[in-house]
Formats: sequence, structure tokens, C-alpha cells
Amino acid sequence: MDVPGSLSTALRRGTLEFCVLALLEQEEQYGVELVRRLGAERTLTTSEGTLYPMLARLRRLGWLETTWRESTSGPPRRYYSLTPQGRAALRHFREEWSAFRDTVDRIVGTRAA
Amino acid sequence: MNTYDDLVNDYLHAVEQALAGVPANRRAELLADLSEHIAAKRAELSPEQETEVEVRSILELLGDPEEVAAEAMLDNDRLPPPAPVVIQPKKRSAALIWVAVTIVAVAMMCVVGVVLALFVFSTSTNDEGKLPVEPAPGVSAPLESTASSAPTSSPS
Repeated sequence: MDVPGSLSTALRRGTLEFCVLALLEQEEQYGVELVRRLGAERTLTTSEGTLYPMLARLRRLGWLETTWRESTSGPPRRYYSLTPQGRAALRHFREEWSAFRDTVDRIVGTRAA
Repeated sequence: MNTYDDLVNDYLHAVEQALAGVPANRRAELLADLSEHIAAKRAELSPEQETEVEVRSILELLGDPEEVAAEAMLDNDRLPPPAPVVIQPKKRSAALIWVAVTIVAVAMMCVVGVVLALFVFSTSTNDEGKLPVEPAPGVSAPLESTASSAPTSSPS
């Protein structure tokens, strides 16, 4: 079901950023690849382009950092990785999210059996 | 080839136009990110693969310029807090309220003070007959003792 407009936007707001952090938890990723991967998740994003302002925001927050690496094919590639602050933010989100999700599930009646 | 560059430039230009309300450094940053993304994806295509359809699909995946810009505009509200404009009036009204509260409190304390003073004054004047009796020995006794002790202690 396609949920247009404000509900999906509101749900994404505040959660998508942490999905990005989680995708980078294990290893750094090439920016274009990261965006492609997230952009394919239609419940999470509307388009690839909207991810760049968010990535820039996470950089400014000091949760992500980027490194340029030479590529064997094509222009140099920018890799995104988590900073210690980014890891701490992800850890904090995990705790908050579990409590938040449990409460919503209990009240809305969507708790998994 | 050139026509594809034009497609890309038109797209970036549309984003730039939509970003009018965003600070220049952030606008430049986003445009650089987007053109880097487009260049990287184009570089993945071999020359014969790079068709208009392919280039258009790269741009379509990036999404509507207005939408991309709108996402960047969100940071306007979140990041640089428009503190001087928005918070100042609130602070001023809060300060005015505190000034008013203080004035009222001080005025009430004055009134209470005056009432208390009047009350104490009236009760003490009522007891006028008894009052002189008690303080008189108490006041006079220490006065005499200090007066007598002072001269004796200084010569010794």
C-alpha cells in the first residue's frame, strides 16, 4: 500500500538517520552505493537525492566522516564511516527505539504474537 | 554526450534554484554531492551504455529537484537556531512578567510590613502600663555592671 504524504514522512523523520548509521556500523561504504542501497528501500526514502542533505547533516553533527579514495575505474570515491559519536548515537537510538516500538505496539495493537 | 551534460546541468540548476533559502555553503555542498553522485554513476556506464535513457534514469532516481531542496530546507529550522529572531520576544515577555511579579511582590511586602508595624505599634501602646516595669531593671542592670567593670579593668 502506498502511503502518500505526511504519515510516511513523519515516520521517516528521526529514524532514517539511524538506519544510515546502522548500515555503516560494520564497515565504511562508498557514498553512491550507500545512497543506492537506501534509495531502493521505498518505505524509508522517497528518492536518492533527498539522502544527500541528510548525509550532510550527519557529517555536520559529527556522526559521520568521509574519506576520499582513488578508484580503479572512474573518479575518486567518497567513503562514509561512523565516528565514535555516531556509534554512541546509534547505541542510544537502539535503546530508545525498543522502548518506543514496544509502547506503540502495545497501544496500537500491532504487537507481534 | 554534450546533450547529456546539458540534462545534468539543467537538473543541478533546478536544484540550485529551489535551494534559494539555504545558506550558500550548504547549497554548494549539496550541489557538489549531487554532481559527484551523477558523475560516479555515469562513470559506471561504458560509453555505448551511456544513453539519454540511462542518464535520465540517474536523475529520476535522484528525484524531484524541489523535493531534494525541501529536504535541505528542513535543516534551516533544525541547525542554525534562529535564536535572535524567535526567542527574543518570548524572553522579553517573560522578563516583563517577572518584573511585574517582582513589583507586585514588593508592593505586597510593603503593605504587609506596614500592617504588621501598625499592629505591633498598637499592641505595644496598649501595654504601655506594663512595659516600663519589665525593661527598666533589665536595661539598667547591665548598664551599671558594664559601667562599673570598665573602669576597674583598665587600671589593673
